[in-house]
Amino acid sequence: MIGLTHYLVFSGIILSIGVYGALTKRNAIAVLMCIELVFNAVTIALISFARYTVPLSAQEQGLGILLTGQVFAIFVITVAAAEVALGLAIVLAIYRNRQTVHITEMNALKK
Amino acid sequence: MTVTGIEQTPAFTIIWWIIAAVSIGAALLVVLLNDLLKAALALVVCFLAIAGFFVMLQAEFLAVVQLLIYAGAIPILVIFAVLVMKDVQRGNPFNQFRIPGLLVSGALLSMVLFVIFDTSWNLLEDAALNPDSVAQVVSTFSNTAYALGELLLNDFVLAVEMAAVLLLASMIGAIALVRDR
Repeated sequence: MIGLTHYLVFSGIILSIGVYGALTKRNAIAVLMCIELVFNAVTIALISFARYTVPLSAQEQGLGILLTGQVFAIFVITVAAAEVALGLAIVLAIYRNRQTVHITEMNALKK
Repeated sequence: MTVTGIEQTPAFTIIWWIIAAVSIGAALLVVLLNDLLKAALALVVCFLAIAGFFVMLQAEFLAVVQLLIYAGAIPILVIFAVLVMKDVQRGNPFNQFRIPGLLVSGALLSMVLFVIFDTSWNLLEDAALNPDSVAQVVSTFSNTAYALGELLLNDFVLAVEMAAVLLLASMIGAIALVRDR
């Protein structure tokens, strides 16, 4: 039977795939896509917590707070949307100025 | 206690493993494919499969949000940015940190797995709830959009306003970054 642990292990696997891609990709757009994978892993973890666990304060505060994990997931999705819009705008601005999106060549601050 | 009986059926387990396999495979394709456009399409497949997980977790509203934003809006932005570039077919190479990256993400995965299996989770199915609370939990999870709306506009109303300001700021920032000077 599928339980909390299954979802958390799945989320951990997606998270580490995303971190691996973000660390090892040369293209800035690929790095952004891998960061989206990390955001999605976090969202799955939050929603499975909302579904399978109960907070210790639930008896006093009422069981409406069971869905707090889903509310957090909504905010994660909002922040991810803002992040990808800004990130791609930065990538396009860099591409227009330097004709490259490879993060290994973005070393203007080093010189 | 359990919210619905459907989670005990074998079909639920089989569908769960199919979705898990599809989305992990698609996530690996995002990292390993050399064609940036195909990697973006694999990202869409991964997000669609994860929307299936949200339905299985009784989060129907978030499944729809996932379809609209992650499987709809974000890939359009990404593919638009990909199509502006030259040399898309070989646009997704690795940098010189392949082995250190593998070590770091492997260490992260083992750390996460240790925390998952070492923590004693305060599970809903083990909680000693009276019959009233059980009925309340079932009604909450059978109409999550209603309960989410109440939570968002009562307890989290400040965060909702902050999210609106954040989206406005990022929209202005994106326009300011890419406009012609």
